[in-house]
Amino acid sequence: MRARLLSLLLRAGRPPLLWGILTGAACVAAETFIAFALAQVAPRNALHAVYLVGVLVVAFLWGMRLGVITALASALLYDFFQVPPVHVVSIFSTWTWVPLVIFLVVALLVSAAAALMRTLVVEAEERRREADLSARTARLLLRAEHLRAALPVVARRLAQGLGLPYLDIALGPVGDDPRHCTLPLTDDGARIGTLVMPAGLPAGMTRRLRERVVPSLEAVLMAARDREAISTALAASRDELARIADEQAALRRVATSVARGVSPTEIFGVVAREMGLIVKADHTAIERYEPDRTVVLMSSWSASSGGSPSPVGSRRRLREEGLSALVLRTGQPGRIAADESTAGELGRWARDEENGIAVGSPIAVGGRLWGVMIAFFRGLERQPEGVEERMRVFTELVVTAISNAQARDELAASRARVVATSDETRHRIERDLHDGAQQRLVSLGLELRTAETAVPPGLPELKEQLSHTAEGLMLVLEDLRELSRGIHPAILSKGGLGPALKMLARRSAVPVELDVRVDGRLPERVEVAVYYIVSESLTNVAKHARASTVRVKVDAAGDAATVAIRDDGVGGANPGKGSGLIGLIDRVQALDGTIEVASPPGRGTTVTAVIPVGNR
Amino acid sequence: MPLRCLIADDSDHFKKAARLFLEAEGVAVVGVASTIAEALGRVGELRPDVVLVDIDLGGESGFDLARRLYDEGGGEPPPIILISTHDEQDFAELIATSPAVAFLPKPRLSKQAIDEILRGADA
Repeated sequence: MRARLLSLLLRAGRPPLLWGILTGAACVAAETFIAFALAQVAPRNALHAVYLVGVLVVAFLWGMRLGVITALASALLYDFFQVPPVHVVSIFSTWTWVPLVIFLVVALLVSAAAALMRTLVVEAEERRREADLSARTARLLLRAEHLRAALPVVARRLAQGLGLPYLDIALGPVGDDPRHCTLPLTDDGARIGTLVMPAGLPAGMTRRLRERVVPSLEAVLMAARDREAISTALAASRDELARIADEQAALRRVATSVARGVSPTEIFGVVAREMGLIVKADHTAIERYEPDRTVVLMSSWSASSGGSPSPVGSRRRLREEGLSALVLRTGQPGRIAADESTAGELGRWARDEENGIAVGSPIAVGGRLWGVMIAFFRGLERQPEGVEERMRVFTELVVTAISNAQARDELAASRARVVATSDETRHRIERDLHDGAQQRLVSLGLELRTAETAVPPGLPELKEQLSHTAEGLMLVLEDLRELSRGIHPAILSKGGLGPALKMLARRSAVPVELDVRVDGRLPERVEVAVYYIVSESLTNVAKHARASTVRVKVDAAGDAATVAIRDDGVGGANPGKGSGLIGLIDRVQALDGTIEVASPPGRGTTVTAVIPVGNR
Repeated sequence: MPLRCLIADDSDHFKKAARLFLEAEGVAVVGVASTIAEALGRVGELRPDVVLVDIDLGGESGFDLARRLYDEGGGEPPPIILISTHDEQDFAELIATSPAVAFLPKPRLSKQAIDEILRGADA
């Protein structure tokens, strides 16, 4: 109620004039009646003060002019009813006019004061509203993520607050248009924007906008621009930090793989994947240059599951117009549009794409151009920025991992070759001994004994001699057999792991519980390794463990052969000491397998080995 | 009537020496063979009293021959004795599961050894 009354009183526009005349008349009439009533109890010459109330109200609400008219009307009625002689307008005829003039002057002053007060109150209210508006504008602009998006909202609020049909704030100059006027927004003379308002606004409103709205808008706009600039800078540095953190995490994963000693193939896979994630590529590949102008695919990665890359290890000829050849030629990062003619460079999956960008970065190991890292980006509209630099930096960091992986790859391959060659040689020697020397000695022995049967009964010494020689041959054969048995277990090639392990169990000095689950034959290298692991372990058990039983379990039903030899002996075995065990470690690692020895004192010894079976 | 014997072995030298020796001892070596196919044919055709099978038949296995003689030979298959320059110990598990009646190391080959094995098998 109070607020409504206040708002009514403080309306910028005045109420209609007719209302003012009627109000003035009503006030004067009412005051006359009140004066009559008061005349009974109060001194007559004080009654003119009653009329000042009406003058005050009318002057405040309808201005000075109507206030003056009300004052004149009040003076006339006062004279007519209250100044003796009553019911005569005496102002022009008697000396009673002096108090009337004084009343008139006071009424005029009251009227002027009321009108002035109203102007001041209205202006104060306007200022308050502008301050509110300005605060709201500031809040909107300073909170907005994007200045440009917030401007229309701010302009609308401003227009609402000022009672205008519309306002517009532009961040630059605006073209001329007869439908609207503009006010420049500046910062220290530099144009920072334009306030657009409807044409033909009252001069007071235009002045109000220019003098009171524009300066605060300029200040807030500047602050908002600064804030936006700071936010942008912060976002950029946050992105940069996130990028660095991503790279660090990627490097850590690569380093972890290296430290865990996973296979080189896996390390290349990890590098390709991390690179793809860092530069946000669709596909990545690592290729190794070969001396005969071919490349070998070391690993590849795809962001999506679509498309199947060439198999790792596949080899292809370098194409002169292709990316790998470009990088090989320049030794620098390179970029090509992977259209139909060049996409073949990237393998089958990239060829499925219609268009794209491929970026290649050289991998130099020990000063020599070793290979190339390729990132493929689908779609020409996405020109990836700064990829070359990021790939170059990342590549430099992972080169050590790559060269280690490469070296280990070569070492593993050469160790596998050594073991395989040695196994093959032993097998061949065993066969040669058997088919050659042993077979011939047996035949010679039979021939000797044939001769023995043909000796006439009269020559017992000769018979004795022949018999003795035949026995000697038998002993030589025994020796040879023992020798050949140590070189290569014949039963392994004849009967496979099952019978061979049974033979080992039967020969063991410590009783063996044997549990063998093997489907058919395994690759010879695996059978030989498992045989030697069991054979060597049983020998160790017999020599050192002081065990009462030993359990041997071999399971090769799946992709890997698992061997476990567990005894109930004294434990405390040191794997580093026995050279036999070291030989086994070499043999197992050459096959990409693992072997572990657990030997807590007093709790027996367990040897566990896992050997991948690979392609049977 | 002498014991009729067939020898399956990939070494010509051994076959010759064994034949001479066994015949000198009074065993009739009615035939020899070097491969599984040849041995299967000869056994079917000659019906020997005993077959001596070398465990190493070149690329083939004497255990396979023993198994096939037993499975594929029509009627009652002749007793099979596995022979080898290896020791019985080396192949004990395979010998145990083979249908052969016994293993005889080649250096121990003799009429007496064969007779003892066959007597043991009969009993």
